[in-house]
Amino acid sequence: MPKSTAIKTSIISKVHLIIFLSFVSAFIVSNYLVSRDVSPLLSKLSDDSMLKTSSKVLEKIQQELNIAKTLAISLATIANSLPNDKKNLHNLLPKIINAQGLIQTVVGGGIWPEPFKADPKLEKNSLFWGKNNQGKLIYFDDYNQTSAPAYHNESWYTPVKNLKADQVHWSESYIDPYTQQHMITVSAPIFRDGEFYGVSTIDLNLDNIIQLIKDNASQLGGHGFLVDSTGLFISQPKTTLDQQQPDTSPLSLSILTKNNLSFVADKKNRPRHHQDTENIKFFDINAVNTEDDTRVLLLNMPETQWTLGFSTAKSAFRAPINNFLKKAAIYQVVTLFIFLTVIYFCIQKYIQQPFMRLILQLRNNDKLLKYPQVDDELGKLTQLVNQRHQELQASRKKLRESSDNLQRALDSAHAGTVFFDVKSHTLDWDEKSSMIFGLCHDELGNKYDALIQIVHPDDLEKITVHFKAAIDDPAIMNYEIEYRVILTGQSMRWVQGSVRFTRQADGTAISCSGLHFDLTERKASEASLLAQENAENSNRLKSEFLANMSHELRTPMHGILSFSEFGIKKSETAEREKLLQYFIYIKTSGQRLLALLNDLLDLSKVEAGKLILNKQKADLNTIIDTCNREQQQHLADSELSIQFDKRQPRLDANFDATRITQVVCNLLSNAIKFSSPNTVISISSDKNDLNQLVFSINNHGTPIPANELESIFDPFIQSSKPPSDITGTGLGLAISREFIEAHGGKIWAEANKEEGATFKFFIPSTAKATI
Amino acid sequence: MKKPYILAVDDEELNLLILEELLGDKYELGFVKNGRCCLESVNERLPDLILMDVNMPIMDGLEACSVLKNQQGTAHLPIVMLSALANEVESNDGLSTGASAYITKPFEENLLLDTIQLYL
Repeated sequence: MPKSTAIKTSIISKVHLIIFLSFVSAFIVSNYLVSRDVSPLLSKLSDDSMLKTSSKVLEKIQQELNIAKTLAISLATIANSLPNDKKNLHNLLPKIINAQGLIQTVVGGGIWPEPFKADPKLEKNSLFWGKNNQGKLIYFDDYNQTSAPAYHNESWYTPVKNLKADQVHWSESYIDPYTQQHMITVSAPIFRDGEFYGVSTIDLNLDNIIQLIKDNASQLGGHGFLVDSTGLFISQPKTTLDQQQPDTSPLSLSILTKNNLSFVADKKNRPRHHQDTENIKFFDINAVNTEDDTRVLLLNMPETQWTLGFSTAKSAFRAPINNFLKKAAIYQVVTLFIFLTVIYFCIQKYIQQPFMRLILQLRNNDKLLKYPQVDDELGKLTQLVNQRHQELQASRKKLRESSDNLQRALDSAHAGTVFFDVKSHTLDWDEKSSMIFGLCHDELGNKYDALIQIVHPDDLEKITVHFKAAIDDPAIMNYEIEYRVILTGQSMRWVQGSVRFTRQADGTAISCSGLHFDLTERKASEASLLAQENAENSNRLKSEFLANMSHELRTPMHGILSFSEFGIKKSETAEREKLLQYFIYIKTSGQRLLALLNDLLDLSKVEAGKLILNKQKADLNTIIDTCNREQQQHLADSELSIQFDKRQPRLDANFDATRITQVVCNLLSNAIKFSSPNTVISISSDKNDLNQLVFSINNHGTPIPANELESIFDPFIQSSKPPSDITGTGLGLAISREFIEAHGGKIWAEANKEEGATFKFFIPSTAKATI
Repeated sequence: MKKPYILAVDDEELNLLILEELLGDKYELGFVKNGRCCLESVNERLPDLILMDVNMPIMDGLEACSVLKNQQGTAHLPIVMLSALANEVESNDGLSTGASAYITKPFEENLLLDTIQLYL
């Protein structure tokens, strides 16, 4: 078997394939489900993480701002409570400004009175301290110089006039021209006696905040930024010294232009708490030149009107998911691989190997299959196969025995088998049949043709016509046929075929099968037996004939001898009439003897082929009438009457009138002999359509058995029932048959339904007269 | 002295004529043509002896003999078979039915007369 076919058809291969495909499908489906359900979940976690980080950052920024705010309000309060005491203010204010120490982000602060309020002589009278590069707080008087611009018009000053006592104003972010630090200023109003007095300010260094955002952004794996109320970036993404210029990077532009403007506009009008959901905004942007979608979170800070934002490339938070999925997939693959391997080896060990072992055993014709585990399925299968094997062996043995017996029976019967297929019209037989037909078994083509060729021509019809008729007759189930075949060497063999038909429900023959017998020996012995029987029969008939003849001869001889004896004895004493009567009796007896001898002569002539007919024109009806007249005495004695039906007045033809008279008289005499008393003998004569003269005589009396209707025409035979009842030579019918057949006619007997018999003959009416 | 009555049974008229010629002077003779007529005749008048032919129509001599021999009142009747059947077998058949004698035709005149004499 080719290996490819074996693999294609192997159940084990199919099981392997099915398991493998199942696992692949399970792998694909599980991964699809994981990616479908887990990704959004992880996205949400990512958003939460961003929000959490952002809130934390916001809290810290708020803390910073609150410190600055508190300090600004504190300065305003001090300025309110210590009016115009410049000395005290100089002592106290720096302490407040520097309350957080060196490292703190408050880098400057002071109070800025209205023009001419603190000192009617001075327009500018600010008290301002700033930190130098070493972080030391130094008093700056630069703003009070006459050359310096009036601070009352600064953007951080003017809006404060409208504020209430506990309110502050936050400036835009800026770079301090002196320290080059990124800063913001918070301004609080100073009221004295309910009147606006001036402004207190605290400068806040934004570096801490910027660093905070930067650190957290890098933790999130993205960018962080802070935008002030004017839409300028305080912090990243692109924080430069040239900060006042708008950031034009694609990402920044996208954030600001596309999504954030309305957000920024809103917050100006309706400042809210930064944790309100309205102040939180998530959105995705697909920035130009970035490889991946970006997730952006904006947090609004209502008080300062700042916006804190974080952006992370989606890939950044997808990466862990993908990593997780990848790892999960790898674990799955590994698990599946282990699983498949285990299953593969299990199948190999527990299914394939046992199967292969059994198959090998079967292939090697092991008598009984061996399988160690009796209880499992294969064990049971093995048991059943073994059981079936043993049954098969037993039935094979039986079959062989019965086949041997049958063959022996066939051999002993000298019988050959024969099979005929009706549809294909083919004949088949075994070697023995071929031997019977004297044919070489191996060289036969179509056996039907072979048979037809050797069948004796006289028997051909039995096969070509009678046998075929039997095939078509649904009623015939068994058919026997005897025929002769001509063997090579021209010897003849008798064959008997005995077959049984197999028929469909509607009677159509399908086939027949049966036996051929060589009948030659039996036929020969039958023939010799028949010959012997014939000889014996012939002898017996001759003996009977002789005995009969003796009887028939003795009766007239008895008369001749007796009356001649009486004549001799009484020749002298008897009267003349008496003697005459003796002579008449002697003559009658002599005539009877002569008639008998003539009968014998006729028969011997016919049998010797020496009968010569003298055909002359004569009338059959006349002959019948003559015979009737002659038998009048006998009819009267037996109390019989005759009914003669002449269909035609005359039946003229050329025939031997003497012979036909003999026949008619003989038939009439027989009819009288076999009739019961007081019955009618019916005679009819006619000429039929075939121009034949037809004679029929019917009596009522002793019936003739059916099997004797033919044999009564044989010489010396009289109807067996009752033989002793009849007198006669037994030659009458034999002679009659010879005469009628010599005329070219036919004579036969028919048994009547009730009793008696009908004898009929016909002779042609067209014969020419004998010259 | 009254003549003994002999019933002759034969289908051949000639044979009856011969018997009449032969026995007519000494015996009273009755003639019938077959076995059945014989039985009827015996019923009417019991003969002293029966001369019975064998081959006859309707009922043959053997059957008639057998009937008579098996019938009370007739079993004692002497029956002499007269037949043209000359074989030993046939004569044995005749005697086996109970006939007293079997004479083949043609017969010697004296043989018949002596036989009749013997059984009367």
